[in-house]
Amino acid sequence: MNTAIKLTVNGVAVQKQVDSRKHLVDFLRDDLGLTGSHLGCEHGVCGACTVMVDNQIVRGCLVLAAQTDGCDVVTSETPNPSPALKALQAAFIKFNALQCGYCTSGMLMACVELVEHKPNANRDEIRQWISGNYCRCTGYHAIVDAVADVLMDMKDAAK
Amino acid sequence: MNSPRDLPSQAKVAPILADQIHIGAAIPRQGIQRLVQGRGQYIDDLQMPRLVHVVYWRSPVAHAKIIGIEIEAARVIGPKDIVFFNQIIIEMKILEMDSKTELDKKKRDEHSARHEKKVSENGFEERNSGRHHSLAKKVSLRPYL
Repeated sequence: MNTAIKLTVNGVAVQKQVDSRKHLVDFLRDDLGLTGSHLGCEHGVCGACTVMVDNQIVRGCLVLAAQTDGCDVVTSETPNPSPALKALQAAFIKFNALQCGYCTSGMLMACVELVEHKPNANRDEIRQWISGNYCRCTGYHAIVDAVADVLMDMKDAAK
Repeated sequence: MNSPRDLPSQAKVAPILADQIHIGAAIPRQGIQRLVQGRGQYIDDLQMPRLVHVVYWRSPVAHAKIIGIEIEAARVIGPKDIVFFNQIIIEMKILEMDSKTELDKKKRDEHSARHEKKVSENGFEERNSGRHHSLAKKVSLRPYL
């Protein structure tokens, strides 16, 4: 059974007929060609499919595309990244916080929410926050460094 | 017992490189910008023409040569055409086309096989390098939003 949905994806209005059972990440990848969000475990454990829906991160493999009708979806491919996402992307590059990059899209989305909602987070809290996003090659040290650097820069800018 | 703390004379030894421009310095990664923007291309991002199902199989043992693959069981299950590339097996189920002659189908299959081979040689052997761009040009059918 198909469902008609209207939503905004990375700032672009999208209107599609989707299978009611289709997951959001499959919709993004297969129907819209946005392959930046990845499918790892397909049951909400690895976090590779993390995307932002109405300023809240969700697991793309646990949310149906039909549920995002009327929502604003943002992925790491957005051509107009928020200041937090832009800073995180630069910091990930600066600290080499990725190797294969498979987890990076989801990791960035999780970190965006951290930066926006917990600007005073310390390293332990950063680790706790990204504990739902698995990275199997870089390790988390460089990722925590990158996020901590962004938080530090934000604090300095606020002074 | 041999730690520098226990051997004070070693503390005076100069580092191997006085100018540590290489040791401990991170080298900028090629293509990292692409990866943080979600534009990396991975095996499961590939959408090849008329591809229904694909299986990649590599040797479970390092440096081992695959000298044969038993596919009879797979043929029974369904795929009509199974294409092998080096150590990669690609199962392709060619969709049935209505009102097409057998000759046309043969031509399409030949074209498809040539295309797949090109992808295999140029794409799968490259990982995280700039050549992904050429791969994207050849096989990507990503609809642009």
